[in-house]
Amino acid sequence: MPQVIPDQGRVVRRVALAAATVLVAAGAHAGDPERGAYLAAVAGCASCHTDVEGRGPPYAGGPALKSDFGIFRAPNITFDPDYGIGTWSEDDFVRALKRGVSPGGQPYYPAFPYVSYAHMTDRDARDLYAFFRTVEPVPEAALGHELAFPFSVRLGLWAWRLLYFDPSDDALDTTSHGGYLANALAHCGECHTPRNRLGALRTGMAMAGARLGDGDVAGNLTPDPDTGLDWDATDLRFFLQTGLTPDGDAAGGAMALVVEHSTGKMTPEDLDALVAWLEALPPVRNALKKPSSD
Amino acid sequence: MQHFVRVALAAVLAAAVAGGAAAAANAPEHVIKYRQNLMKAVGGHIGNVALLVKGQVDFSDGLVTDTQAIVDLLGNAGIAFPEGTAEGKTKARPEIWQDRAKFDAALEDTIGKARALVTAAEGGDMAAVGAALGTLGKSCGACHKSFRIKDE
Repeated sequence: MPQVIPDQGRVVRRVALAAATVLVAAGAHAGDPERGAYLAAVAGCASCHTDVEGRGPPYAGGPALKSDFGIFRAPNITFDPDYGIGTWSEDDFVRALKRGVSPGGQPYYPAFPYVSYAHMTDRDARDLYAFFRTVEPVPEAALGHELAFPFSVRLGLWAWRLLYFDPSDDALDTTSHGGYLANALAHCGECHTPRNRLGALRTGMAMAGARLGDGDVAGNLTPDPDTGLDWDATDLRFFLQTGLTPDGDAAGGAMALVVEHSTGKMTPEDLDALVAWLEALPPVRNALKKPSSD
Repeated sequence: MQHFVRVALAAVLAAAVAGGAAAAANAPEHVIKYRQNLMKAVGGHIGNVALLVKGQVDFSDGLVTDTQAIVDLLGNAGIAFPEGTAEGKTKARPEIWQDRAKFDAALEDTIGKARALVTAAEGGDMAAVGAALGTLGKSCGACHKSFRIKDE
């Protein structure tokens, strides 16, 4: 009997040690779903993946996004195994997000902002995965894209990627926290940075504004005196929180969604960082708006 | 006699002007101008409340007037979108007339939020005013998103 006790103790210690090892290993990978929920808000996932106007369930597929290439509809990203991403591992998810490739090896259209997300930290990507695992799975197929030929042929995307997708490209600043928010996580540049005719971001004109496929204009956010934004930091911050311009106009269009789902939910620290970064943008002349009567 | 002719002429002229004005009133382009002026005026008052909330001016004595003006002006907005004014130099979307009940409900929601802003302004707590302004801004934005054509 007395000899058995140390043995038991050793076994207990071993089991405890093994369990701790497993926990530590899991801890290295397990994302934080609460932090992920905040990141999902900042990234504005719901703007594209939830059909708010059609009262669709969260993240079960989005409304039509009109572009020069046709209509994109963001898929169901709930963890339903058949219609969503329920079978995806964390690595699958991170690869889809940061490399724009599905677990089956299919390339995504860059309407999904993986060119921006390529600069997302692995930690943020993993926290997002942890969050989406907590979202109610929706066993419904989302509507697909409606694209014109030749853009309907996904094979062409490999060529596009060869030309324009370089995840190590640091032409866009993501080193400061504000730049990281603008160019990676909140992907402001996907609308506010002009694109070339094949849809690649013209990084030399970061945030200088662009015309969008649905006729909307994403304004020139640089402080160019003629064509840019002359708002001060307080104005910018207030607009990102409320959608109200210094003229008392309320943003409509896609920016209303951005304020509602993303910037309006940012922590004061993130807002400050984003505003400081925007304020420091070099002026770029880029006229977009016709003078309008109202 | 000369006096009589004068009076008669003046009466005819006045009638012609009045008649002409009556015939031309509410032409679509003028209704469109009216509502654009109205929205600009609302925006002006909201912009001034925002200047206070942001701390860029401290004219708090003017606050209640601005907030009340928003409510009053929005009360005129319903009549500014009659049938037959969807065409022309306007950013109003045809959905206003296709789904009038939804538009009216959206406007009513905004007026309710504007009333809450008056109440907050009368209370004098700037944090509450800021919160009420944010809520109002959301309501404005929701209506613009559904019923205003995007920039060209």
